[in-house]
Amino acid sequence: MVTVGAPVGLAARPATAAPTTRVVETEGTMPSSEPIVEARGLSKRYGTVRALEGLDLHIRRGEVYGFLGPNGAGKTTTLRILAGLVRPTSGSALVVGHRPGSPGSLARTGWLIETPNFYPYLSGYDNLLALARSCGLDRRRIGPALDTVELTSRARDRYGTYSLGMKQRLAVAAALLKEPDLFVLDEPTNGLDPQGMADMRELIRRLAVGQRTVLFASHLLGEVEQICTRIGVIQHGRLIAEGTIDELRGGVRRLWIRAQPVDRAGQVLERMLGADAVAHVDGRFVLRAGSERAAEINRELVLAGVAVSEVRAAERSLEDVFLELTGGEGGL
Amino acid sequence: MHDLFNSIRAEWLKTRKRPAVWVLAGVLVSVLVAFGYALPWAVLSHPPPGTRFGPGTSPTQLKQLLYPAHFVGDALGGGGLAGPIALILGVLLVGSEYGWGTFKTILTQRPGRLHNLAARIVVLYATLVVYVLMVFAAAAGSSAVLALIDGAAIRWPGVWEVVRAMAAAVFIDGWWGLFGMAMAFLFRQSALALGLGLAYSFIIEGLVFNVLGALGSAVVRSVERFFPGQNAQALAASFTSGPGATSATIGATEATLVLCLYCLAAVAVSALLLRLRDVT
Repeated sequence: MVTVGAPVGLAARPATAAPTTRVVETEGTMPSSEPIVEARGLSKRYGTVRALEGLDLHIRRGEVYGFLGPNGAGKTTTLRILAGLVRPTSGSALVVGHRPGSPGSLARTGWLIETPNFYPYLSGYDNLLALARSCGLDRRRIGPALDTVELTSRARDRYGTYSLGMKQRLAVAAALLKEPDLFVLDEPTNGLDPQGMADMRELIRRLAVGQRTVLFASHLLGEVEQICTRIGVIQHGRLIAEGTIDELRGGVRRLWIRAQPVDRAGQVLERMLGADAVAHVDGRFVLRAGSERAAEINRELVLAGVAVSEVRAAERSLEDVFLELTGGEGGL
Repeated sequence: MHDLFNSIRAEWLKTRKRPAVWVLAGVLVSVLVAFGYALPWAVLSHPPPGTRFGPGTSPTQLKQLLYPAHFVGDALGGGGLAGPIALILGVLLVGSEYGWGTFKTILTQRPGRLHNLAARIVVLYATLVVYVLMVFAAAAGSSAVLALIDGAAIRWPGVWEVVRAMAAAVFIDGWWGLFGMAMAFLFRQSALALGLGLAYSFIIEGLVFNVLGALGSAVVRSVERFFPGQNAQALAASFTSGPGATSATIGATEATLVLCLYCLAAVAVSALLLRLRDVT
């Protein structure tokens, strides 16, 4: 008998609810309770279009926060507001304890918003040199940043000749220059081939060490699932769910059981859970019950003379959760 | 102040290494040498049969204008292209950032928006100083070469006059550059800013005022003193002397003041647009 997963409970919640506290820890990351990004009631209108509607966001130092939402949900608008590129119509935010876009905030944050944007006639090195100069940083930081993104060998080539993957990596190097407390990466794997995506994923993992925080918006749920410690789902400009991946997956709990004889097992399960909670599909029972009841169910079946060959928590993918939360609104 | 200095260093690196900036300089110098010196000298040296010059003027007299004593006036005009080239430079220093999306990159670094604008303006003027030095050097060199070919005496204007003229050139070109910047901020792109800026420069300031003004329209004469291009021309004309010199209807002091106001207005518009607008 194998039992997998430990769902914690429904994570979907109204935007104003307090953030959940359980955090899945990844290697080298120890989130603290200190907020590094705090946004309250952020709203943004472009003419008659409401891009954000009272968004609350609370990101703690040291976590890798995945920011998910369908196209047009308001992800990039949120990030632009946090970067100080766009002013909110209402609401307020603090980034690293400072007003978005203020020198105090920008000095401690590294940004990659949408596509990487650099000067095509300058080399990768000179692009970073221009950025380093604008921040008053020592040019000696450029070498290690290029090494980190494995771009040293092409550093003297013109940016205009770079592949998309190299451009993305240069953008990450630019974010690294300031040795920031917070990295904000908006879909950094966009347009990359599978190897490039894997490299970028690995790079992001390496960024998220110590008390560094990564705010990571991505098209790819699988990547978010692999990298992020906590996730926020935004739709129609509102945060509709927030929590760890386990918390989000735990929204609908199911157990899968294989047992013989089927008739006897069915009777026991219906007596325990009610007929509505038991279904027999493709030779196995699908039970509407959480994994915390797995041991009890197993014991009752064995006592009733039923042979149990498998008890497993039905694991939903993040994609399942996302589609349920957003009502199947496509086009991440 | 430290942030401003850092921004200036960054902007200067970007501008210094941008090929378009030096292509513009090359065009400016080439046009001046070709159309301000070589072609007029060739025409005056070998006038086509039947060519008539004004009463009391001969080709030899007109050639005096091409010699070192008058190079300041030629250099100030920049072959008629200095203003438009400065306008293009101003547009490029801002408009391209919108085209490449690099404003997002720059504005997510440490310095604030107004520091960035101030740095751009400083770099615009620094680049124009380099342009003016190149143009004056080319004009001085060309005039000296022509004087040597013709065996004419080489008499240079006073150093103070040259310095004043160079300062005036930077000042005049600076207006056009700031105007280009403001247009690029306004339209958030290069193409429209360039098109409308050049159309204004050539059609309104060039065609309307110069052609209608030459016809003796009193209305045009009374209105033109409020326009920056006419004041720029008047300021440049104040350094010109000798046969064929323009008699400016606007005094140099008045022209300087009006241009100052226009420069301030262009900076204010740019600052307002950069400070208040979203960067998307």
